[in-house]
Amino acid sequence: MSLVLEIPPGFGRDLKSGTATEVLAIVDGSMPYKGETVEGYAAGIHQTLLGERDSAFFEDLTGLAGIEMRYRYNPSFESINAMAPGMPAILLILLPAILTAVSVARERELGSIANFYVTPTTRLEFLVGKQAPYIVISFANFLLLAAMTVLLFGVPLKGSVLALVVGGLLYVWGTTAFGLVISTLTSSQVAAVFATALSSVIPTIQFSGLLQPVSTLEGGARVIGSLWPASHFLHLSVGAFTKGLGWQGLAPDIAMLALYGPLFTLIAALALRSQER
Amino acid sequence: MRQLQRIFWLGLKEILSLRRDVVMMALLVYSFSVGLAMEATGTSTSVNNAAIAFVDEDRSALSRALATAFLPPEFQAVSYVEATEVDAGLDADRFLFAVIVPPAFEADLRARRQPELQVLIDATAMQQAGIGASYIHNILTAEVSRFATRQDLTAPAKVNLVIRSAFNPNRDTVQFQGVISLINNITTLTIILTGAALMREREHGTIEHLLAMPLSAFDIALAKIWANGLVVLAASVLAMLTIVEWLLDIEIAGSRLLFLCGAVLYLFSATALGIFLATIARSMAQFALLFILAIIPLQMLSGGDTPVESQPEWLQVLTLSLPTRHFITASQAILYKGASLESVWPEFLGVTLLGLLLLAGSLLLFRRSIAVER
Repeated sequence: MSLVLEIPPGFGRDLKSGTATEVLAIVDGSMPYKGETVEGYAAGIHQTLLGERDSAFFEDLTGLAGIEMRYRYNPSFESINAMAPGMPAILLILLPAILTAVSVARERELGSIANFYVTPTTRLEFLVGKQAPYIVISFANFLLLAAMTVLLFGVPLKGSVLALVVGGLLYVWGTTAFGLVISTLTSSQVAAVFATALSSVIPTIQFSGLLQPVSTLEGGARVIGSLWPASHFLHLSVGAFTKGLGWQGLAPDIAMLALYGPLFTLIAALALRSQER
Repeated sequence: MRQLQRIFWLGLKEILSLRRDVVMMALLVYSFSVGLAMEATGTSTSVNNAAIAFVDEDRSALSRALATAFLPPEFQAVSYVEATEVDAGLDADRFLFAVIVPPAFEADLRARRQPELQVLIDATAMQQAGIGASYIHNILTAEVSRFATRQDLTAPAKVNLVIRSAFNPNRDTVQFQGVISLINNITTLTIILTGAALMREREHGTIEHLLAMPLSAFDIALAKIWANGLVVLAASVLAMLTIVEWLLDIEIAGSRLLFLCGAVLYLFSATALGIFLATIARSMAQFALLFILAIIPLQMLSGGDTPVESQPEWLQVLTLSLPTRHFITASQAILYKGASLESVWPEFLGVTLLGLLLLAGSLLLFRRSIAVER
């Protein structure tokens, strides 16, 4: 039960005689989001009824001024249009990062990384070599997810296709490089899985703008949300699909996404160098 | 009796090997302290700190009153923009809402020419857009009514709707999010700790040592369950007392002991899930992928992020197979509404049954999957 309506005794009589009266609505507030929504609907229905009935009793704004509510980008306000383009942002950071991290950590744990230490391969070559296949796989995944969003979920791609694809490529470059960073900081596969999962699941699901816009987060969550790659790709993906933005609107996100790949690769290369014995 | 002893010593070995793993311990401490507090206080499912653009083409006393009616913490102070800037601002997420007051709004209102206010909503921000739109609608309606009543244009409404919130009267989202974050942490850590512990033994071949000893698969699985479950239980009790109750100041209406019982059952279920995933996977990479595939629905569909009631019916039936959904329902009932065992036993039963099912499944596959590897 989410809502209890209590109509006081003599409500109808009071109404007819024009005496002011009250209706009590008790809302279950234990889940705030649900409570707020139920309350909003109750208040809305109340307003509508006030307007519909004989205005001798129920006078309010109606007839004086109107308020036109326009839901932009997603006029029917269906969550699929906002959520479906957001899902690739989650999957394309968690899976590529964890796969890349485990692939390097595995070599270290099993000792086969020694092969690399004795060959003239540079650190960067080793890292990029480990990363490259995962970029290819993840990019293929991205194309598949984008196709699914359009064909399976029926969300039209209204904006620039090319900008979305460029953003997707930069994003998987960055997320696989994030996996490299984790793998150079941890020494076992367990720790690599653990560290990647813990450092990425919560920022990605809670702080990236999927559930609430980054601009409304607070404190540490806000800082992480603004820097986390998933936030920018999510913004780009929702922008390209549902908002119908072109190159110009998506440029800031693409610029941010372009930073992560080189930055994380650099950090990983430096960290790997320092661990070499 | 001997079997119990064996399970005890095996579990102790598990705890000792975990204690030596500095990275794991650091991550464990982090997620139950800083991580938990940040998630609980930083996010909010209701409208919070939302940016509004205000296009004032009227510049009257009424339009100024409308602009100042939006107050924190729900809204930031409105920023005045020109009508031409609205689209670009919504595109770039600079604001979520735009309120447009047309020219001569106040004058038209006085002359009863039925002018219209316009509210633009960025409908890609689902949670905030819906609630925010109804807030804005109510605020604007109240402001215009107040103005109209003062100017004798209309009589006050005859029926008032009084809304009260049962449980969590202030709709404080920290109250809600704190417990959800704790449960999310329990889920993540338990599955990884247990599953990875089993996976590591398999990759290093030490599990074959164990299997060569007079130990059954059941002993090995149960030892991992009690040891890892105990570690996470200790961490959650500490986090509950220090972070949730003391730092976040979350009020607890029901019995702590009952919640603890629920947590023990849930830990059993989550460790069983970890073991199950590690039994299916052939390598750590596969385990990691399975973990991600499991954790996303566990976190997003269990009623912690969005209400289960708003899922399509077929999905609501499917989410009954998520132990997290039962535990979240039971926790909310106990912690916020003070429910007793009488009302939460179906959830407790659900969590336990799912755990038993997963454990039975893992035992069935256990020896077979080891055999396949050879």
